[in-house]
Amino acid sequence: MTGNGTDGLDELGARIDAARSTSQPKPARRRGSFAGAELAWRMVIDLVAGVGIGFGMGYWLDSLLGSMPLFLILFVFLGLAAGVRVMMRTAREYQEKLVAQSAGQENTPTGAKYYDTPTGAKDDDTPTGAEHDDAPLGAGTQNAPKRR
Amino acid sequence: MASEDGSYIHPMDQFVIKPLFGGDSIGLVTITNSTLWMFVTVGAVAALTILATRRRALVPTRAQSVAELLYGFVRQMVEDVAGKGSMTYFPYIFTLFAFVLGCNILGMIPMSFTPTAHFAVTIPLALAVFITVTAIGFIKHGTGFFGFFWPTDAPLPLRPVLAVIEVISYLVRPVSHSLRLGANMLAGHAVLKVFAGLFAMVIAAGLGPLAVLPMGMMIGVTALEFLVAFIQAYVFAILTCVYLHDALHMH
Repeated sequence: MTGNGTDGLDELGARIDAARSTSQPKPARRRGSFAGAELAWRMVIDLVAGVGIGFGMGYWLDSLLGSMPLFLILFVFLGLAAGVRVMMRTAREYQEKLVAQSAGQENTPTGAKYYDTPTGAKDDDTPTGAEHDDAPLGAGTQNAPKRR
Repeated sequence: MASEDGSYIHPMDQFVIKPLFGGDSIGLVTITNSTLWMFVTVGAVAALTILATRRRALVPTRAQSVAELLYGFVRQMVEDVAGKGSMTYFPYIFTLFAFVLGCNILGMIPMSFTPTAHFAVTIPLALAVFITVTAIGFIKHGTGFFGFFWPTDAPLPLRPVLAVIEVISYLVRPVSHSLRLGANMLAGHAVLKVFAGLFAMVIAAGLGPLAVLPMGMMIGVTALEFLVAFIQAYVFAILTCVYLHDALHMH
C-alpha cells in the first residue's frame, strides 16, 4: 500500500517537475531584472549608511576629546571606505553567484532552474538516490499485484 | 505636502499610530493599530503553519501547500546561503521571514496598517539579528571572532586602519538592514497614496477622463508593491542568512 502510494507520488512529482520546467523561464527572468534594481538599492544604502556611521563615530569622538573637526573628517573618510568595502563585497558575491549560475545552466539539461540552481552539483545525485531507496519497497512485492 | 486644508494628498496619514481603546497618550503597553496588525500577522502565520498543516495530508490542501512552499523556500535559502551547521537557526530565520512577509502583505489590504513601514519596528528586528549573530560569532569562535575584523593579508602598518574600516562596515549592517525594509515599505505606500490623492484632485477639478492616468499608475504601483512586499521580506531573510554565514564560518 505504501509502495503504491510513493509510486503515485513519484509520478505526480515528475508531472509537477515537467509542468514547472515548461512554465519556469519567464518568471525567473523577471525576478532577475528586479533583483538587479534591488542590488543597486542595497549598495546605495550601504554606502550612505557607512558614511553616516563614520560621521556619527567621528562626531562622538570629537565631542568626547574636544578636537572638533579632526576625527569627524577622518571618520567620514573611513566610513566612506567602509561603505565602498561593503559595496564591493556585495558586488563580488553577486558576481560569484552569476558565475555559479551560468556554470549550473551549462550542466543541467532541463530548464528546471527555479529551485535547483544553487545546488546544481547535488541535484544529480539526490533524485537517483531517492529512487533507489524507493525501488525495493515499491517494485518488490506489494506493488505488482495491486496494479492489475 | 500633507497640508490639512484643501489638499487631497495626505501620503503620510496612513502611518499615524493611534491608540485603539481610547486615550490620547501612547504608553509602553498601549494597544495601537500597529500592535493590532502585528497580532493579526502573528495570527495569520500561526493559522497557516499550525492549522493548515494539522491534518498533514499526503496530497496537500491549498493552504497546506502554501505552508509547505513557504517552509521549503526558507529552508532552501538557509541551506544555500548560511551554509553548513546553520539549520539550528532555521526556526529564527523562518519566523523573521514569515513575520516580515506577513506584515508587508497584510499591509496591502486597503485601510490596513503596515507595521514594517515604521523604523521603530524594523530597527529592533535588525538589532535583534545583529546582536544574535554577533553573539553566535563570539560563542562559536571565542575571542577568535575578533580576527573577523583583523585583515591578515595586508601590510602591518595598514592593519589598524583597515580594522577600523572593517568595524564600521560591520556596524553598517544593522543600519542598512533596517533602513532598507522600512524605507521600501514607507516609500511604496506613500507613492500609492500620492496617486490616490491625484486621482481625487483630477475628479474634483472636473477633468473626469484624465483621471485614467493616476488610476493606471495606481494599478501599476499596487502590483509593484506586492512584488516589493515579497522581495523585501526575502532580502531581509537572506541578509540574515549572509550575516549568520559570516558568524559561523568567518568567510
